[in-house]
Amino acid sequence: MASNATSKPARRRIPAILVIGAMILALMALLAIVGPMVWGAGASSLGTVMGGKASSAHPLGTDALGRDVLARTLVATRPSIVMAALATAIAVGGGLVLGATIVLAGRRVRAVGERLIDLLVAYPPIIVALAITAIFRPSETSVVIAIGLAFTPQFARLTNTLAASISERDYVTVGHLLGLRPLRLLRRHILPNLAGPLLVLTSVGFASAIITLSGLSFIGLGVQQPQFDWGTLLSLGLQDINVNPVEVVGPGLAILLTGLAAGLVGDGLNHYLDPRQPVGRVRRRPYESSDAGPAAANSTGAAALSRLGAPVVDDVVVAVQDLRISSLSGSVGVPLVRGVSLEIKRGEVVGLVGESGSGKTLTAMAIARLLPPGLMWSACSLQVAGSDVSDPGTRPPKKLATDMGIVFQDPSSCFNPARHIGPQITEVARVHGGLGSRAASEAAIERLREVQISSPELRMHQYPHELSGGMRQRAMIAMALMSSPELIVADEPTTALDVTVQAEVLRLLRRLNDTHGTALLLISHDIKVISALCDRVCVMYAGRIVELLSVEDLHHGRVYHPYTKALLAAVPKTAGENRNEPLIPLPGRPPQPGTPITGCSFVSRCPMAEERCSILDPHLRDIDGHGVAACHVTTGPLEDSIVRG
Amino acid sequence: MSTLPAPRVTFRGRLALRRTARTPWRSYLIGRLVGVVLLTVLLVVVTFLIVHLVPGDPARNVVGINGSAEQVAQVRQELGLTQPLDLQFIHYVGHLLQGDLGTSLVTSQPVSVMIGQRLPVTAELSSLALMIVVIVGFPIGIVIGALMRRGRAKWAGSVFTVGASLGGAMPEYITGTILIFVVSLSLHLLPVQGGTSLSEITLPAEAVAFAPTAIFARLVRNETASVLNQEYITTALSKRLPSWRLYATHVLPNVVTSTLTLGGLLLVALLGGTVITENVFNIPGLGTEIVQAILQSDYPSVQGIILVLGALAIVITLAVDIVLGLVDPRTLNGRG
Amino acid sequence: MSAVERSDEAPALQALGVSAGYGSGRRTPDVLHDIDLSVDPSRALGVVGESGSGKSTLARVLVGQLRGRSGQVLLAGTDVGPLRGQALRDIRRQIQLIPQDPYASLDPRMSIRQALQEAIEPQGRRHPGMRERVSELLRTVALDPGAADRRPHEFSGGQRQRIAIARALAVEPEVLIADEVTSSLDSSVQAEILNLLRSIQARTGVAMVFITHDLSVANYMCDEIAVMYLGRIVERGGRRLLSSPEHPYTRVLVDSIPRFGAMGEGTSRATVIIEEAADPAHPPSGCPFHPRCPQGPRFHPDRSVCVSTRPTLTVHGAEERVGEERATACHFPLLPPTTTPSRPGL
Repeated sequence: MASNATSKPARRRIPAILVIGAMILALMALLAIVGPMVWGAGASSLGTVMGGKASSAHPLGTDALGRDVLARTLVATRPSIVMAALATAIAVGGGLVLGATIVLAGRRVRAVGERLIDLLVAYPPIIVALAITAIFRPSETSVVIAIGLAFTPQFARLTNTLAASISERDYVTVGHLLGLRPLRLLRRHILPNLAGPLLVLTSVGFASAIITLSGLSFIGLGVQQPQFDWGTLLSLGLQDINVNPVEVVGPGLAILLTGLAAGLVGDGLNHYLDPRQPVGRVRRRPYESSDAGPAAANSTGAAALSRLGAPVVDDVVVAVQDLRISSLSGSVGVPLVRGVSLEIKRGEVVGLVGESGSGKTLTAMAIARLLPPGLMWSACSLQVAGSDVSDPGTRPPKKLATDMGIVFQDPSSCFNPARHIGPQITEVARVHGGLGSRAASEAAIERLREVQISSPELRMHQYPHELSGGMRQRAMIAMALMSSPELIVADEPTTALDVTVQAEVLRLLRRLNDTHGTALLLISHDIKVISALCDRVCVMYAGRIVELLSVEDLHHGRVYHPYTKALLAAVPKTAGENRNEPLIPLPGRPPQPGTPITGCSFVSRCPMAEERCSILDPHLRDIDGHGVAACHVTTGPLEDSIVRG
Repeated sequence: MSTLPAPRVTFRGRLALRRTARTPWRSYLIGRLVGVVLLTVLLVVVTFLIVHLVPGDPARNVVGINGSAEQVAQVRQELGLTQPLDLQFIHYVGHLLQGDLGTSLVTSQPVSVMIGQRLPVTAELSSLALMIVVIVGFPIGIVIGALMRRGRAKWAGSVFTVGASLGGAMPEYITGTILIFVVSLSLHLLPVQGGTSLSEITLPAEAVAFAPTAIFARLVRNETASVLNQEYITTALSKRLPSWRLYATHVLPNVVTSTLTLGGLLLVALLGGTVITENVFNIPGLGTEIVQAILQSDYPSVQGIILVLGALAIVITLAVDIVLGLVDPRTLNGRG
Repeated sequence: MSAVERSDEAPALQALGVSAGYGSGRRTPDVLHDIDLSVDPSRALGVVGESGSGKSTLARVLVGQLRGRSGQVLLAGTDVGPLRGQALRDIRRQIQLIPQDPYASLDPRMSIRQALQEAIEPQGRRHPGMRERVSELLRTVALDPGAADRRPHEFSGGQRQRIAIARALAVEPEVLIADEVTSSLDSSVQAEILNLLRSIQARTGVAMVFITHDLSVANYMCDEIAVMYLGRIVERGGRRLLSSPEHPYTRVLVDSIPRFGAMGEGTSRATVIIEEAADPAHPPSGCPFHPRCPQGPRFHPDRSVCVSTRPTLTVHGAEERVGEERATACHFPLLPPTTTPSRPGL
């Protein structure tokens, strides 16, 4: 029964920077191994030309003692790389042991340990390194230990945070329940999931190590004469900079290149291991797409004709015709909404119901002209509160802000967390409505009172996080109401709320609709919410509206499309209704956006499917004078046995 | 550094978080102050132990291999090593509280005098570097972040990312070396060595600030992009505000709060960069002094400088925490 | 489900006077207070509550992720508290958890087969027949055994929940705790999972604790329901609890379920709630619900006992059919007109 679901590609493309960085590092490693053997002689032989400029014999010049700088740079690769590698090993190893094991220890030990790490991180690593160098006279060994220990707290902190977040994951909790011993948990669950980020940290750590180590050698506290590494070479070169500036090029480039390569590897690994959102699951992003081009070209002749403008009917608040939305994947458009048309009259409450992937949120956002970037859309006509906003290339008029209000799903993120809610609620009134701040505040307080928020004057000066979820949602509704809009678009407004709070918010919306005559477009996956609040219902499936019906018909089961029927049958009933009826699940899953669909998109799950359903795509049609559904087969209200059959 | 996965705070978790914030400021301040005290204690202890952790005989290190036994004994006396350890510590702390940091073994000058002379130089250099980082890095980051928002100007974004990565990898001593070569020697514009006047520390400050500016700009760019992805920006968009207003009231405040912490840590890192860069430009600050002190095993001077630099770091971190708490009230609850 | 005779063995899971809270060091307040519950084999107990009710905390205490501060948790009659080490690990296998988030409950680095094998044999020992067992488990949850070598990210949310169920079953537990297992799923998928759990219970006789905020789901799945509010059980009873609630909070919960025609202005004031729930760490004195209770002192000023005295779970009504015993913690429960005087109950 299982099949590939949201298929992520098994292998992702390896970023170019990762390859480049890794190759450079490999080169460095090679030089570290063979350097002294191949160029050792050249590095120490005193030449005749003191402080010589770059020449064919000495591409990077010679130093004050006539030694070839290029040779010396190459030979210095080994000490530089080895020291940096050792220091990184100390820092990452120590940090890992400290950070990860603290997570597994008892609660007390863990609290103390984390506190300790937090403290140690406060000291700048350079200063710690200097202190350690002071203790153990400057030398190769002491500087390695110094850098290693100096960076350990940072790595400990990072691994601790990582390990803590992994250990809180549910699969670790279940692991405990399965009876896994702590060591096995660590080995099989925590460490493998740490490996990726840890690798990134190690690369970045190596970059820091090579740079800081060379820096310490540069100021004389690292490798001591007659040994030399890149840092000391650079320092020697600096002394001669007035005379022979080319001397600094060799060691300087070497340090830079290595540090850069390690950084690239770290960045590349980060990209590789932490990919962006997969295509198809469109996350809402703030800016609307203004890409007109290809979408406009898709419209057919007939559509172009009707684009000449449907007459603005005063009675209608929203009129959409043939809305199409697709996301770009490469050069191919992935259709997400495939031709939606609907109408909302003044004062009407219309519900869009569907499961995830049905396109209901996108439809609502398109109507609100708030689609995220990366989406192409077009519509034969789109009129909201009398304004024609059907052209994706044109910014919608400012009056849209006062004609329409939005209520979003997640009350915890819809307000700007850095400002009080007062100014946010009054913002539109002040900017577009021309109200002074005092007048606007008073209006806002009235609205807050209307949505039954207690002590509204106090709330105006509170931050969003100081309000509870239900209050925030009500504040959002108050904000949407400020300009007495003709339409409110509410996208899953109660999904994130407790059921008692949800009931209050729904009652509030109903009351506002009764009192002010504001039309409401309600999007929800919960058919109970839809039937409680709406006058008319649009059922969406796979980017299309498959049925339009009144809420009475929905409640009494007088539905015409098999999907609607199945939706009703899948929802558990509450007490007082037929609560012992078994739930009838709907087999299968909605089609993935982008998979080519021939015929009806519901055919694979439909209990009534006939042959023609796989060939011809049904459109919304009038059935027996009452029902409106997109189905070839249905001829009247469906019997319950259709789904139970 | 890679962004780490933050633990998922559910809606219900946030609700609980809000409810426990009864007296957030008080407990936050107390927590921070306790941390400062602990840090200072740790610093003092470690600084004290520097001399005692030296393998072998520290006095011998000072005098050298060729020194006589009397000289060694004399140095031991001066360093107070003849007394029992706990007594030494008490003396040390006692002297500290009176402002006496000991006497240099090399110059016989009080360490506090030396620090009094050299600390302002280092502080000035660091501050100037910080100003450069913020004044240059912040606007660049925001502008690039805003430009890249629609997924357009991808070329600009790539150029920026590459440039910022390259820039961020440049160590201050290499930048300093290049600056010396290019500006001073070729163009004879600014003096190279020594000095404390503004013109003299401009070049070193730029050397210190170069890489951090690139890192900071990149950070600001990422934060801007992240803020622009938030749902409250969609809410703001629905209000059809003019663009400048959107940025000024909704984007900027949130970018500032999230970059503030890392900006503060950057300041602490700048201290380290300053220490190294002073040696490139021969600036008479704490950086050049400590190198000499270490090479000459002048332990009192080393201890004094480590103490002062450490204390500076602690104070800066505390100041950043307080400012952050003032600006973004949500930080009062969480850890770091 | 028909009423089942009380078996003579100990209940599969029991909690006696359990209190719990988070945080260490300085004593942080309890968020669970004095919880008593028990589930018999083959029975399903629903725990219903909103945010702040403590139901998730209860789940964690029952599975042992959080230690209770007082009271006992018994698995098949054995007190789990004093056990340590291997004995503890062995007994914890008797109670398994299906977590809420299908995207976090499976280790992304392990294939399904590896995850199931680890559940069957946590020490890593292989034995013959393992492969067949894995296939059998997958078939039980209606997944294709051929998919066993895939990784979690290749499956949908509903499929991942099934895998989590299969893993829980692999251990052959006595008790299953399902913590909001369908909250993040579409309704059609939810129906599949719920039916699957019911069939598993019918087949294996496992006891189930079903934690949910959705009353209708609890109604569908469970024989017995406990309603939680601010860390306490305020009402407990069989399925008639939802059609005739006794506790005012339960009444509000039931009436809050959105349904056709329920939004009119004529709705009884008894179902309206004002304000938000209090902080679970600082509950009101007396009855935790009194500031918001339509039957409480806010609307009936003479009912000050609600503020001064906390009500305990008491059997008020005359319902005493086996499996239908109802207990309510309220001074003024909503009872049908003819009742016998209350007596203290569970």
